[in-house]
Amino acid sequence: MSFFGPLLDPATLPDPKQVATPLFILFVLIELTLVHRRRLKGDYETRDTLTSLIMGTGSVLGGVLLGGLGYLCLLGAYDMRLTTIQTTPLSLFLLFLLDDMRFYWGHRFSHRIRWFWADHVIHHSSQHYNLSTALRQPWLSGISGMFLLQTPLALIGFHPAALVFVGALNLVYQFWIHTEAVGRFPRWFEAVFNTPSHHRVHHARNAKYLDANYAGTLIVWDRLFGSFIPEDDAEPAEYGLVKNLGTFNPLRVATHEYVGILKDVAQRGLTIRQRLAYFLAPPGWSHDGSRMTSDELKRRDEERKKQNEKTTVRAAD
Amino acid sequence: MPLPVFIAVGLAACAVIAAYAHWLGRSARQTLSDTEDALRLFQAACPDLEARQARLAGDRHAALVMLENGDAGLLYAMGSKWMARDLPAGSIKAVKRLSANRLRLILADYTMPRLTIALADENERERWIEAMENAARPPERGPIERKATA
Ligand SMILES: [Zn+2]
Ligand SMILES: [Zn+2]
Repeated sequence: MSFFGPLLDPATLPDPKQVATPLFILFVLIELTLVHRRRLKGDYETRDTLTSLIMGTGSVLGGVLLGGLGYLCLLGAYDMRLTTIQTTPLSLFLLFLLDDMRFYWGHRFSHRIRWFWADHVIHHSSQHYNLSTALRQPWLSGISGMFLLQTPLALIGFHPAALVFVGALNLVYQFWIHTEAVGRFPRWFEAVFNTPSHHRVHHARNAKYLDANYAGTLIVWDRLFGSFIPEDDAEPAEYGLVKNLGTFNPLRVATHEYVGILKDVAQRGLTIRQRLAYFLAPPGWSHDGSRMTSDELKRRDEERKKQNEKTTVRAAD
Repeated sequence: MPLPVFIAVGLAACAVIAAYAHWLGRSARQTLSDTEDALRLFQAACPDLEARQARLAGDRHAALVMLENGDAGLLYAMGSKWMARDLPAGSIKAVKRLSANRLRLILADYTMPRLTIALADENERERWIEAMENAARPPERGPIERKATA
């Protein structure tokens, strides 16, 4: 027993994802049934759902096969820790909050740096938004280097197993917010927590909604760091990518952005700086300006809307 | 649970849920009502391109769109949703005539490698091939994808 409550052995913490998997399957079946019977709002399509589920299964396999490197780095950082923070229920709660902010920044980088986007794009590649979309997860996260963002927490003194535990708990929380079945919760809840409404905005391909609501569990980080956009009933979310995929093949879904990067980098006549930018610049950046980043898409969308407003006012006059 | 068992159970769950969704009738592909519908959907997906005319596939699951810049564009049902692309020079690697009214396009796009299109008849099939002639030509410079991801 410590000041923070009973001591826990970090090595015996359960894997929340594995524990929750039977419930994920059950809830997908329930949502699918109720959506089909028109009792709930939503949309399911066989091949889309199958791809999402295969991506989810593959991500577990990928995590085991490729996750070792990241875990070794965390163990290395933990060996150099400033202090030792015992694993207790309270310290896990504090770690969950800190790690939720880590998730926020990692997620934000995943949308703003193409190398990380190549991994995260998989989660956004469905044109549907239902509980099965939550399970559409990348296979190659282990090589993305995203674990580096967890190392400060290990350096402070949190055990790597505890870090993995709270990270997985965060992902389990995010399962239920992938639904169109829920409208909005009471204002206090929407103010503090990430909800279906906030996350629908995050999955939308409408220019207005791009690059917003990166939260894992607490939406407060978006409010704090200026990336919050509320769901606008006048502009329903359209889900998917700016350029949607023309395949349901899980292998292509898992690797398409990496292939895109390689193709871009291999173009003839580029400077080293331009080649690097194809890895590190925001998605949509191109050396010849032939594509658009989300910032440019947003700007153009605003201009168009202003133009339309002017035309409407003129017509009314 | 050991990993191999977890993966086996996971794949079995995938198959069961997919079979259930199919049994419920969730595999039906989206259908176009008319050419106006095709133009509207294409324009919504690609607001930077000016769509002029559309030709519907025989089964109405796809449409060929003629763009203001002279290129062709394609609207294709991905299950119950739509996917749209312009087809600049070099975007089609091969066109295969599968039967009198079926075409297969092999595309130079990793995210859309091949599409099968059902057309009304042989005449219509040839019209589509003609309209996509430019897309099947090699590009003047290296293939540069015109895409924006976010
Ligand atoms: Zn995201
Ligand atoms: Zn999500």
